[in-house]
Amino acid sequence: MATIILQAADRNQVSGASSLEVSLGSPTEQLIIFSGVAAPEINVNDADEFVDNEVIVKLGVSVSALESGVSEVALASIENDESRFVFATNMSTLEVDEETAELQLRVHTTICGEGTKLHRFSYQIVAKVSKVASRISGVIRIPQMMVDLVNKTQEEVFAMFRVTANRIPDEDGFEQPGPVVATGKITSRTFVDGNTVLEYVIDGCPFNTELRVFVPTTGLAQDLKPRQVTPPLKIVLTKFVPAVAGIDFEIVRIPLP
Amino acid sequence: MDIITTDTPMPTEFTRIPVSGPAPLNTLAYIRCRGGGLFGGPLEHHYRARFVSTFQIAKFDQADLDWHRAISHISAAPFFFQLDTSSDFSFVMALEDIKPFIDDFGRIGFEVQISQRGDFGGRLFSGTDWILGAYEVSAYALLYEPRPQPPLPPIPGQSKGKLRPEIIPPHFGKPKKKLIVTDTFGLGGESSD
Repeated sequence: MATIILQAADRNQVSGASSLEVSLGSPTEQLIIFSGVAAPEINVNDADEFVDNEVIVKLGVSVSALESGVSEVALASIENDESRFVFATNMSTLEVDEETAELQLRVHTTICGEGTKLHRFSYQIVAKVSKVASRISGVIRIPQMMVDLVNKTQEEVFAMFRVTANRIPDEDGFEQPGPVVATGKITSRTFVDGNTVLEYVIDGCPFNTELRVFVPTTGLAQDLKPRQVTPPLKIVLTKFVPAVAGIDFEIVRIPLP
Repeated sequence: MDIITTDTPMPTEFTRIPVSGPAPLNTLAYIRCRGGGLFGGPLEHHYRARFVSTFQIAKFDQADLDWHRAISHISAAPFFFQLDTSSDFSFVMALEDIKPFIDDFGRIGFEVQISQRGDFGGRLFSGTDWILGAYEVSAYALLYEPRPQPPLPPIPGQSKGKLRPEIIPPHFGKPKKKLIVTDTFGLGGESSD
């Protein structure tokens, strides 16, 4: 039985992925709902043999405990070429990846037939969890000489700068953002020594995963880019080191080619 | 890509659950509605079916539409509940993607990307050859809906009834009947039987 791993944060692997978090009154307990259309693209060409696969959908949220959860999975995209066929999403379970504390959906599928493909299946999950208290934080310094943000409202400034923690796919792709595993927020804006200083936090990052913080921007001049000015570039949070502070960025001018 | 819009809201079931946030969101709605669009028609068709449910944000004011769109969260998935073909021909039936939205009237709707392909002479769902598929959408929406404020607690000492309820002593046996003798003006003494 083959295992296919999909990342909910990657639109090519899961389309329409969405989640929402509901407070249940207690600061640590939350109800999280996930939906999406996963694309395992399983392909067989035999009408006499049943082929089983296991598909794991990484949901991109780390938790310290999964108290309870239910999942629903159903066929969303199938193809057959004039033969007897079987399409099945037999069983789905919600679990926590022991290594990274990330929630994941495990689906057992079976297909059979000539020219037969299980392109996609839909899922919806309702989980009651305790969130991991993991955090990456820092500041983004924007020299006023380069970008004058004094006359912009706080909301306009927050909309220009996003912060994300991205999984590092491999050493070759270190400079390129991998899948987003957690999205942060700007918490404050101050003006210090000719700089606009934005403080940010990213909560709920997975443990034991190589991460890098990126600052996607909108509305900046083409030659202005955010650059990380304090190490480390590669961040790994663990149960023993659940938070890292001082991951700072600065907007710098980069000569255009 | 074509967009096929269904103007009539699709049959919907929903329920509202009060929640405590994140503020200002206070309502979690579960919505299940029939999917719009059709499987059938041309041999190969890729389109987006756009339709609304009957669920509407309570006391919705159109002036607040952008605000509702900015703060609300909707998580939705489409699920096939029927797949059928008339014969053993090649086919594709697909719900590729879903995008929820809030329309101008505060109703929650969905845009579902649908693909279908049949490989035989003729059109789908005509003559003797056909493909049939039906789906529904299951969605959770985290919203703000105005709620009546709960009544304030009584001011201590001013709510006799609530704070110091009257205790009625237990009554055992049949109560004794009392006979009152009066004169024509309603005045008179009291006697017991």
